[in-house]
Amino acid sequence: MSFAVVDALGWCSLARRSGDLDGSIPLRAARACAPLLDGNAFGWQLRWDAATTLVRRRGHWQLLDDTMVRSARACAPYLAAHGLAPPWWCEALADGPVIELGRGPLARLRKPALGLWTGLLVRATPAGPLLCLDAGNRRSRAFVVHEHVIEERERWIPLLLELQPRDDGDSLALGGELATLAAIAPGPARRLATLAEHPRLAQAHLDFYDAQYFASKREGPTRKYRRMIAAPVEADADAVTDAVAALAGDAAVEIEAIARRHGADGVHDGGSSTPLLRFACRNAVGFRARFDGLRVHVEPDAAALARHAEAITARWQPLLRDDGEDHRGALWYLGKYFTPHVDGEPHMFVKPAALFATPPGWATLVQGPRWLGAEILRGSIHTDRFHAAPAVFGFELGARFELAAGAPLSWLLPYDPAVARAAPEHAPPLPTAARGPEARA
Amino acid sequence: MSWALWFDVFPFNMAPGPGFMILYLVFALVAFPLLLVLRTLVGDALDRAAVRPVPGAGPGGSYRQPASMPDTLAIGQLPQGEQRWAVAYLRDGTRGLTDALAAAAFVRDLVTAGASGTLELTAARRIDDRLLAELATELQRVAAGSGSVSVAALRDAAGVVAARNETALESLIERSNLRRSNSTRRIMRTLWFVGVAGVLSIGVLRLLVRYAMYGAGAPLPVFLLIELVLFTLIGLGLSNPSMSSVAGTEYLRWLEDATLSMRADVGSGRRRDADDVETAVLLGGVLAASAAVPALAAYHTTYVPATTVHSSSCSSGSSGSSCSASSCGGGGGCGGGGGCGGGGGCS
Repeated sequence: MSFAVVDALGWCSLARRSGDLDGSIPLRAARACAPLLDGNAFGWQLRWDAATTLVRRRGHWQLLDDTMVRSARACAPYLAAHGLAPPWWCEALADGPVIELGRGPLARLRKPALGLWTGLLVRATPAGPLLCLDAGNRRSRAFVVHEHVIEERERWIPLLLELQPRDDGDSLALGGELATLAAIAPGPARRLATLAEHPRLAQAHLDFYDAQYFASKREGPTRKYRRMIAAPVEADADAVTDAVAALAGDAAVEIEAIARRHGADGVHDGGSSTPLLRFACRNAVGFRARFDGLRVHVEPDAAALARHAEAITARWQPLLRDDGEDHRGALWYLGKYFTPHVDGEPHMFVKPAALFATPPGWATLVQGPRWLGAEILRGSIHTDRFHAAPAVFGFELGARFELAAGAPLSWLLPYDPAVARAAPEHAPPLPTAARGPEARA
Repeated sequence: MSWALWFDVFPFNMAPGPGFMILYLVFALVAFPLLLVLRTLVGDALDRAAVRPVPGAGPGGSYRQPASMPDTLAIGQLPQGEQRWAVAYLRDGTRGLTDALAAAAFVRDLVTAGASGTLELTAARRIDDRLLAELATELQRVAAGSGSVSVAALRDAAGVVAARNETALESLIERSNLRRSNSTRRIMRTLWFVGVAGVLSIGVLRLLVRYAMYGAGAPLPVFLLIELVLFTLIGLGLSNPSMSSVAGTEYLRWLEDATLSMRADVGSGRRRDADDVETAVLLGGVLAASAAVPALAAYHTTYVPATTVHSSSCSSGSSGSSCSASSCGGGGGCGGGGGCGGGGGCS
């Protein structure tokens, strides 16, 4: 059991998602890109079954369906009377399922977003805190869903999505997958290290990106990663016991906490005694990029790119074996930084000069900021066996995107896949909940 | 009456004629509605203050161990057991309770549709609900061993049980402070009388000042006297504030909103639990549950005038049925339908 959930209104449901998004991703990715498939299938998807619209009237957001507003408003006293939600939440939801952040009891929040109650109550379990993210690679681009963590294990917490509209429009369609929920086992400590401290990671990288790999790659997908993760994990006494980011160049990697927290006493930034930690990578080389409908054009800062490659060579040189193998490809993989995708795909990826390792069985979720016109696709890497963590960009057609050196690039969250995909415990729905996902048209 | 000359100011010192009468009439037309509004506001505030907040289950509360059911009706608590009959009574008096009991007879299978419009009584069994047990006994008495009753007899029997339990249900409603208390009504009445006295005193003062200033030489102020009598009658006629409490209205409104989904589900047949169906009936009328208990439609056709189906229940009922229709048609399922369509297209 990963987390517990009780349905108070019958608006949403939780479901697992197929890695290929029901066949909607490109065939090439479906056949070869296991990290994308794993990222798509990460956790549990929150589906908004009661399709409706959020509208802004006289500056206030509210659900268009008055029946839903009345149901949610009436549910708050029920939750209060039955001790099903902390008083702070009952007060916040007394005016309906939409809470305008920055007003009323949520005045302390700094993000100009709106809170939307999903009609669900959730609580974490000993398996780990509950992480709520946006819906990843299949989500509405009309708004951003800000991530937050729920650590509360004793009391039910209304599952509130923090939405931020992308433009100044007055309506947002709600429906389909809105968010991803997953319990994240606290697990191993997060640690920054040097490559010299972890020569095994360097060796694994050199072994994977050997000359044969690049020779095969010219013919098409090698499926080397797929074969690697399909093989059973071998017992290894020397395997890392922490989640490690080993700096393999001039990469800027930090350990940061997921600060946003929804608890019994409201919504906070920080303040957790056991925060959920992840690695945060910053962009090493400033660049401009644009997808013209066929190709992604990248204009990097050439001088910075050259310095980046030199730093990688300098860091790796002492670690290269004199075994007659050609390791230039492995270093180019990191040093070139930018790698285009095939024609027709609005993607390219960049590779932070760091290698990531997790204990056996653990993986790392890769995600990044949601910029206007571009995003980092969600992926999941078996960092217990493979240690590079490329950030795959997705671009909107025609958007001119620019990312400065030092800007946030990607976030890497170590997690236990078994815990993240474990089924939640569904408590019987409250009598105020509509029955079945088809309850509303 | 030299003291009357203290009020030798406008408008009391106006010359004899229709001027003051018109002014006084306008003043009363403003003052009486304002008094009514003020009395209502004070009454509503006292009604709300009288309602005790429902004690929460505390931070350790769980849906599995709900807060102990209070013996009163309150916002936040869905009515259970006998409380539901009190809601039916609060909502629509004896008629509402009669309909709810008659509908419950169908829901709980006390009667089933028989041949030629009669209702067959089911075999006697233990019934937990006190009012329904009384109804079953009453039906057995009416049937007199025949094993069947008419729809009219069912309604009559329900009416008998309703009348017999009115006092107990009224007591529960009063305990819940959903009826306006005597003390509140007394305060409202006092406030009203003080206001009316104020209005009348202005007219009387005018009479005294007029007499002091103009003496008997002035013509008899007939119209002013008529106004005074009229205002006195209005004051007496509107002196009794309503028994219905705003707390009761707000409770019923909350209950309607809290059960919107439940009633829609019952209306579309997704929920058939007896408790849910009864709740739908007592809030939405008999038609609200006709999908779950088709026999109720016949009862409705025969006995329930259209006016008893309240507008709010209509909306929920209609949303329920439309919900059903659309979901059947693939409205809700359409969500899945989209996926299905995609799947089919791909395959």
